[in-house]
Amino acid sequence: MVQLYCWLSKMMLVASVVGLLCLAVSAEARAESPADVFESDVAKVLIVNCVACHNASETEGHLDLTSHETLLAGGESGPTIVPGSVGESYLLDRIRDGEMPPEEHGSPLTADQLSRLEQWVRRGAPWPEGRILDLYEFSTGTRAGRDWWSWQPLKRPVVPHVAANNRVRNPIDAFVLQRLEEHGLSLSPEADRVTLIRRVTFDLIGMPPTPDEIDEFVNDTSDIAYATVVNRLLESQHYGERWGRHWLDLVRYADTGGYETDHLRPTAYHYRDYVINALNLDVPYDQFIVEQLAGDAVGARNATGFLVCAAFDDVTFRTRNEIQRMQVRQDELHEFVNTTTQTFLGLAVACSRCHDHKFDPVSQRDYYALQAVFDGIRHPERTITHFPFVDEMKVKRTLEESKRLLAELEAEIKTLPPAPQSERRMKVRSVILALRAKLNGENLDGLPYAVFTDTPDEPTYRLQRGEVTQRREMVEPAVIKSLGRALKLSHDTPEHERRLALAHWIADAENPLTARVMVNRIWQWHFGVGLVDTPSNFGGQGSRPTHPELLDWLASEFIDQGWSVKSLHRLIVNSSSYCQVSSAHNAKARDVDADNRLLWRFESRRLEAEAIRDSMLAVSGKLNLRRGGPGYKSLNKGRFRTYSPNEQFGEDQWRRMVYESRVRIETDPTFGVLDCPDAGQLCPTRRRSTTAVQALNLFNSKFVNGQAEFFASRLQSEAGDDSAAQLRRGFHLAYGRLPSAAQLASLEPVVREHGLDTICRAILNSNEFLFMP
Amino acid sequence: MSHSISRLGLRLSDRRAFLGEFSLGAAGVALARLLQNDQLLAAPAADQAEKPGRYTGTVNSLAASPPNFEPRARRLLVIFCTGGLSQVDTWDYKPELIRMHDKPHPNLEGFKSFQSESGHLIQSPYPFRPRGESGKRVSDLLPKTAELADMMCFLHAMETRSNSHGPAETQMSSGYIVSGYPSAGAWLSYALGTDNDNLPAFVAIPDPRGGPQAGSDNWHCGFLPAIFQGTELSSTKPVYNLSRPRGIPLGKDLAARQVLRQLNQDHLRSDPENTELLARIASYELAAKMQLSVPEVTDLSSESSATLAAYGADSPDQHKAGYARNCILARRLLEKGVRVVQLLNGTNELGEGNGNWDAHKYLVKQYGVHAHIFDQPTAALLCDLKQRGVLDDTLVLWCTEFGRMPVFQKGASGRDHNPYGFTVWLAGAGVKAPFSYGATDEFGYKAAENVTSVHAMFATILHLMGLDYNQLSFRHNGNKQRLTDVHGRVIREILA
Repeated sequence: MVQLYCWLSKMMLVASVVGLLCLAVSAEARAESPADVFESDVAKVLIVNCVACHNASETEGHLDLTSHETLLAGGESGPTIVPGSVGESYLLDRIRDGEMPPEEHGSPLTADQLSRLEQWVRRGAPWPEGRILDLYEFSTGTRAGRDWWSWQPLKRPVVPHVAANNRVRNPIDAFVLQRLEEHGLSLSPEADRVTLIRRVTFDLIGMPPTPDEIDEFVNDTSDIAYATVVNRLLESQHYGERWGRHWLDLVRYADTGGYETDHLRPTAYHYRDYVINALNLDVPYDQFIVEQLAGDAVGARNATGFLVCAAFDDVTFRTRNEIQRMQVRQDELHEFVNTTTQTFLGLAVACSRCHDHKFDPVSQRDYYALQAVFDGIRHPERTITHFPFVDEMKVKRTLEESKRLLAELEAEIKTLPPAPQSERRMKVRSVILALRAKLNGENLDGLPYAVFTDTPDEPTYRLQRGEVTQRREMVEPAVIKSLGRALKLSHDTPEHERRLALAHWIADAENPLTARVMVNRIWQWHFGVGLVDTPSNFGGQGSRPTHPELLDWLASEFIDQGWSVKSLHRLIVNSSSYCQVSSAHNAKARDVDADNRLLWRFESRRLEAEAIRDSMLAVSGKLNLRRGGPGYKSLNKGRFRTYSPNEQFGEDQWRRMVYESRVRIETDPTFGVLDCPDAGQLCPTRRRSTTAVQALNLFNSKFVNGQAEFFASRLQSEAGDDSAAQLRRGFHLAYGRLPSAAQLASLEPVVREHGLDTICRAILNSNEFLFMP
Repeated sequence: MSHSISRLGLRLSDRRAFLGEFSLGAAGVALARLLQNDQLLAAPAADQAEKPGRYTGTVNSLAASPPNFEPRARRLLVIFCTGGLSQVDTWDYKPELIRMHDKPHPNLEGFKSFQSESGHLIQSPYPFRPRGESGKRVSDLLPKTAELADMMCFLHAMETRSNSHGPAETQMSSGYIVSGYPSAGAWLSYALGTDNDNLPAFVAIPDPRGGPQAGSDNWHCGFLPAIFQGTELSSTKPVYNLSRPRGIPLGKDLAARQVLRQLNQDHLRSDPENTELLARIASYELAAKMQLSVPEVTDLSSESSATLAAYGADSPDQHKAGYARNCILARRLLEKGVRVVQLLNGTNELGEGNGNWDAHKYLVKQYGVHAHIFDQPTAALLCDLKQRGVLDDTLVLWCTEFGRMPVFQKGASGRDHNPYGFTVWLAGAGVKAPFSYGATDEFGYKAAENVTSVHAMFATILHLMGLDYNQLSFRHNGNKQRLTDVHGRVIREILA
């Protein structure tokens, strides 16, 4: 069980207190202690304006302004200040003449700031004992500090009172209405029942409701009619298949290894199935995190597919060039760190690989400390799958021989130099891992694609400019220093414990980022845009939330509901904000908020490729409901990375698209152009574009036209030979409504002349079919 | 509010297509009104103001868009020889390599570049001769192309980060060694759009023998909207799903279109201002036009037999004839205003060095095959582009993902990968020619003088196309992404 931690480190306390003081004290009436004056007039001004270039490691002009001693010591231009003498203090001269801070690094100090610095010097420049200025204490014009909004502890905001109280179904609406009313706006009217059930069904399971489901809801007069629909959808297996896809986008899941060989990973699907099942079971999100980062330590090994489902350069890692091999290992570790921090913390720490982060309070040391956490894990390609050395060293021998060989190699590896990427060491280690797995009774070929673990060869080092040849000091495994409590880890901490510790640190209710980031993702997947529209970047380069209190309220509620994702869905889809119409016309609202970020109406949008394809199969009657297991094939592979469309469609291809075997970068030949992510980089938000090539694929492809024919046959068998009845059934299935008299009149002759499949082809291409209403 | 990005920006596929060709009366009027509104609403937030409506990270439009400044080149042709074409056997003349032939390299004893240990320094089997008026020495490997040396601006000191084909090729096309970043062609489509609505803005023409090592990384759109992705198209490979489906007669096809139009019109009444709906309607009109214009441009029957012969399209060698037809197709696409054409030569599908320039073990045998395929069609293409005036405003980049070692691999008759020094060249609009920039060391091994990164190469290409490489950015997950990452510089020394 995770302990409760005292999240605020000493430094954060200092920063917060200082921040409060700065706000509380007006310029005129100041009665604080000298220490307070120092913090507000000196420390903050120096940190925000000067310390980035003048600190212990970055000493422009050999000047370090972070401690009393170094300040007094001055730099290459001599002493910086002379306590008591404003006139002799060089620092003040440079600020006064506008040379510091240099134009490219910030704006000049205000007259007020300067005069306070002068007063401080005049008073003898008192400096609190032992106070060291830390660059990351405050945000500057260009970089987030520890006072950045998203790094502040989560506090549950008070639900506001709003004028349109009758529209408040739950606190979400109060927060949304508060912002709308600030702009003289309000929510749009509630959508009709057919729209509602179509919207929430597309949203939660990615397919349209059946005519029976629609009728049942429309005719259900009870108060809980809608809530009943929502519950039914959340309990459906299709829920995980729909929402699992969102998560798989985010974590760059594919079934091939990428790079030039792009090998199929025949057992990668275990991770895909894990995600779908976890969502269906409503596995608490904190547990979901721990399992994906360290599932091998908690009985959920398949979940660690998360760490290794990225591309892996299995060609370069076998090169005989040692530097390049080290480079590949660095790239692999980088990927683990980057994916973990972006996914769970909304932090883009990748920049810190080469230097201290320019926009977030993350140092290069922090980055390598995180690398050290992951330094014992490897892609399976490195060890067994496709590994040429395994055969070479004859793993496939008898049990006795295997045991003997393992003993020999375990002895040998102790004698090998710690050069981490030496060829011999690489081979020996691989075979050791393979033999151990074999002796544990694991079938090497059928093993789920998940992390392989091993003791790191040697400690982690900081690499100057990220260059593998530029080793600097040793770095112990740790978490980001500016963010909350520290972890007690060292070089001796066993591999599993490092990852477990990191996972629990992330999955901690006191971590200010974790819950905020996840509720924002869920919100985005419901509404199309997050409250923060940079869902994997809550740092200095990210956007601010449109509704900060709502975000914090949702995050607090999420944690209080035991990190239940389904509870969060229930809250959101039951809100008035979600249930309002999408086609409202409101000139005033348009002028104020063309993007609808304030949510004055629901945002209708084209469905994603998967939902479109699945919906086609659902209405044609061909949908194959088989769950899980190896994916179906949509592309035929050439020898390496050349693919051609697989046009053999059958039961297998009629499964839901989440079960497509995804080829990295190369997307589905027909539906990929509808903005399917390529699994190259993380995809927190799908783009939504409209192109002629999409139209060509939907209108001319064998798949869609085949489904149009099946759809027509289904209508014939369900509605008989009467063309009006066929059309009515077709509209009901596809649009959830019946055709108008005018539509019937104009379409019936087309059925007679060109066949029902012509209508079906048009329906499967039509906007009404492709849009979440 | 900080998020006042135009809603329209997110939605429109092509404004001009709407205004000029959108024929649905009521919807057209609604749209015109929206566009007016959009003018009012389009004031971008401060941090998105580099180029309103373009760099806000939301616009999908392929409509031609002005560059940052007057461009020297309006189109780009990339000729990409995949597999790593050896600089010391083509463009990079090194007398010292001849002098030291079959002797060990002073510093490469035991060095393993990629595949195996270094053997002796080996001079090129193809003699270098002075070419053109400049007398630039180029080898006999590609005799016809070599004769055009006066047209070329050589960058002799290129270096790249990976010594492995896939990542290096990905870098040569996208600036990054990992997948998932937009290709240069996608960036240019995003920045400049296209003058021709009826053709893709960016076309990648794969080798008739098969795909390149990095596959679609070479023309992928990464995190840019899908509309900027390169379209794969060659003389032998049609655009997928371009044509009316087999088995559906024209009349039935037209009827389906008519029904679709009607269904969409009826549906639009519920939400007439929804520009995303309008854009989808327009996309079908554009698709219908592409169905006519793409076969037209790929149909080479209007080319004279003299042209076909000049390119080698009449060659009995199927691979050469296929590549020659691709070269003609490249010219036709450029003439029609396609913004970027990427012409690929080489595939790894046939095994190491058999289908591309990856000659680890059998250099003479393999390069003979590839040179025969590549030389005549490429030279003809360059001459044809020049003669037709296309080169006046078209930039050509010839490239390969890395070079090769001046030594042979130990015990083999070929060269290992060399990312430390190699040559690419530019030709056409805006570059000095004949000109040579940068140099490798005395053996042609490492870039030594005016070392040029892939980022600098791209920064210079963007500059020639009228774009500031620092400004051309796309906000992805909060971070400003660029083709040149945080690197690059314009190589002013080579600008004409």
